[in-house]
Amino acid sequence: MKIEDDKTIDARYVRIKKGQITHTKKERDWLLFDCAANGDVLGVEILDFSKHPVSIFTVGKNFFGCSLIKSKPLGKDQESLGLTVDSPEHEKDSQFAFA
Amino acid sequence: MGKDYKTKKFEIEYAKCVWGLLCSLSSVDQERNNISLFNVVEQINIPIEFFVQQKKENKNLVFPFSYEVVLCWRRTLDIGISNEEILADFKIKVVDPSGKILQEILSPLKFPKGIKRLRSRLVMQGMLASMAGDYAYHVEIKLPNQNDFEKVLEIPLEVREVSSPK
Repeated sequence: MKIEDDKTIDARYVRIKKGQITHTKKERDWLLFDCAANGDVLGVEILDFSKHPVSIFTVGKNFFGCSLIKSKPLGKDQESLGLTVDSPEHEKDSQFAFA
Repeated sequence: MGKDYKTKKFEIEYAKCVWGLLCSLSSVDQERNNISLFNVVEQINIPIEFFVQQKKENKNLVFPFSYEVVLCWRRTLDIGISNEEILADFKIKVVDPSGKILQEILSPLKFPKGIKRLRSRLVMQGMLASMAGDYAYHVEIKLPNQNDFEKVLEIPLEVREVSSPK
């Protein structure tokens, strides 16, 4: 996985593997999958990345899914933060497994 | 010596991984801000039939095993000295006994202003197990001043092949 950040437009592109992109699948307004002709995901584009922190899962060299990170401050002093990342099988509303 | 002093690039380590482990379940006490870890996983037993089936299908199957990867990060500089937001990324690589990377997870890590510590909890619903043996979860971090990921932790996991009870 190779990360390319464009801070001017607050976007992130994660290249999963090399290949010819034939089409783009819009999973959400802010989440796009670049795909090859055989349907393999070659890259994931996340728009408004600061608002949509996303974890990306791969198995071998293949894209498996991605999941929105939930974070919340903990405790009274708010000096630490808990982040939870659910693997794509978990909690349907926060996961975007490609099927 | 003076020249070295002038040209040497001093790298600041912004954040570090304090600890990390695998467990069946973790639970955060919202009031006291502590975490309880239940059933820390060092070994899992997988029925031999799983590996037989895997061989038959000639592909890696997911063993249904719910667990969490829990990591604790902290700023290296006290927030009294540096309270800037830190944007980093971390990877977890699941490496099988032959050294093959079975699974990879890429996740951003953001220390907002005023936050000293971070806990990352990755909830996994299954595990890829290509063979019995010693697996490792490599935790790597890429800090703002780094061009590449650097391994900061290795969590071991032993996978044992067991006969199913009859």
